[in-house]
Amino acid sequence: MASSIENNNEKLTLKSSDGEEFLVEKHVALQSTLLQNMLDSDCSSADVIPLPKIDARTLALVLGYCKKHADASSSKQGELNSFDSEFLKDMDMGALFNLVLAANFMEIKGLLDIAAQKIADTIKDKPHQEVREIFHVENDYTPEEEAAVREENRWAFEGFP
Amino acid sequence: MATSLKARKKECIAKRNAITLYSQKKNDKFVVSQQRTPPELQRELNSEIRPWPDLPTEILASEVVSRLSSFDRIRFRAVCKNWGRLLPPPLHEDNVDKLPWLLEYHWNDDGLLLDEPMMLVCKLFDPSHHKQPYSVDQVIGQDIRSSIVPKIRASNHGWLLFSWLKNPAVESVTSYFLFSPFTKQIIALPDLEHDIRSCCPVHIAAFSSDPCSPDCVFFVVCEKYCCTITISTCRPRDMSWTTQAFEGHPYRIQGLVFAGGFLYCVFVNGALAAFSVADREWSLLSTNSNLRSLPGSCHLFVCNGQLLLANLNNPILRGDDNGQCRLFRFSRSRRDWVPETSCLGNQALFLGRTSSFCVSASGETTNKVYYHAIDGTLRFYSVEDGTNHALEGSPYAGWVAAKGWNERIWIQPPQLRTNLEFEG
Repeated sequence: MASSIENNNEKLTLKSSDGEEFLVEKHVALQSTLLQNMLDSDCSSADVIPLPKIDARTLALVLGYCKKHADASSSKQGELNSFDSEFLKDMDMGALFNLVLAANFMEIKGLLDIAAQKIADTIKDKPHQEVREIFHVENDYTPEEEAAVREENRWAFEGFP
Repeated sequence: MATSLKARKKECIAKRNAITLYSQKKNDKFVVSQQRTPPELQRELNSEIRPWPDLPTEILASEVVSRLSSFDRIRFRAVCKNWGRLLPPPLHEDNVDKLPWLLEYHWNDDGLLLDEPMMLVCKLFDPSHHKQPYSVDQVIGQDIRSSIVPKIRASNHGWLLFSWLKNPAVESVTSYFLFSPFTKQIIALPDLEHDIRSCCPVHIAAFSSDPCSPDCVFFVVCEKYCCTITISTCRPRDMSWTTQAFEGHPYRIQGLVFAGGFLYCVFVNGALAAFSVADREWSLLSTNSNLRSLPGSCHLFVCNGQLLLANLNNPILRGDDNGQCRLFRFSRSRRDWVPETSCLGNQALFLGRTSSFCVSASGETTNKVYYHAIDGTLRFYSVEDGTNHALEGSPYAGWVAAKGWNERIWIQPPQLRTNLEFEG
């Protein structure tokens, strides 16, 4: 940790799956536990760090989040909270999906939390048929199996189609 | 821990090597792209649709399912087989799902005249799911045509234990069964025969764990006139009860609670006795208690590994709001109850006729005692400042009592059932 504070102006280069490179300040990159561990284990910041699972558009979003959180002082929690709620507003499922994968891979807990919460909020109070449509999930239950799942805990389907 | 650190190090080294190789090859073509602002990108992203099933199930299970209510989790399982296979992770410590539900029930005994089976009508209210309560109607057993309706003797783990007299003319045989309003399952227990000459004016029951578990023990405690107490036990699938009598016990049982292999019984004067399930031995822990003549009702419960007694002096009876709930902890060294002045310690206490228990709570609900007031309303008592409140502002504020004098019970939602297995 001590080494991370020493060179605040140091920058490193991240490369997305589709080949775009991003120059980020080290303290911004440290929002990611993955990058922090890599730097702690002597990866030189002069190297380009490839992120083979994250495309450029998602990476730009992730870094936008990291920059906001790295720059904000701890006293501005309210401001960060409103940034967080705005950040995912109107985001479609595809983008959200990429963001969850990226946050999980890069180990950015705060971002993973808000993105997962957004997915959970999308599922909440919806009939499972509608959830299938939203998430593009194919129903592979036979009608008998689906009826069995419903019967198993019938109380949770009360008032749903 | 050591292995995971080692693995992490290895991973980092592997990554670094990959990076080094990469730098050597392409060192000459350094293109650092200009960062674009997120809103622009977001619009571009919006045009692309990615199919959802690519999201690894471990992320769904660890990050998403844990944020759903029990209702949503069950419907989540019905989406597809892959999602159905995700076992629900244990509920979080501070999860509002841990708060018990409210069950209100009555017997629809219209059938009595028509000689039809009786129907149990239940209304359940989930405090974490701010919706209208939903109803469960169940015809319980074709053979219940008694003129005396079955009575709930104990409730626990999402189950209700009923007792009823099969034939009111022969009062020596009591039937027992369990019913889960969540799954509508019924478990029948053996009939219990009492010695009619020393008939039992007091008879209460308890059970130790989930009745579906083979370790569960059911207890029926009968108090008889001549200083005799009988404890009957049985386990799931037993064909009969095992009954044992103990002489010279204190007078009038007030409550039962099972903890750590013992069934604890508290008596009106504060005396406490314990029945060991393993040894089938009965021992008096305290006979001469300082809790004589407490007004109101007493409830025995376990909190943070301690045996506690809540004495609820119901304010409605006194026509004011100054009633209180006093807590006492059983001190084994003093063999007596000592006033518990500290708070409940991030717990909420639920007092009821059929069971009283503590649950972990967070925020507004901690250090509150929820109870059924004698006028049929629900209230809570704040341990911190000693004040009584109606339900406004509590998780149960959305509950609206049904008309009439139906009994209400705190009931803990069951663990989600995931018994079904699918091929492929």
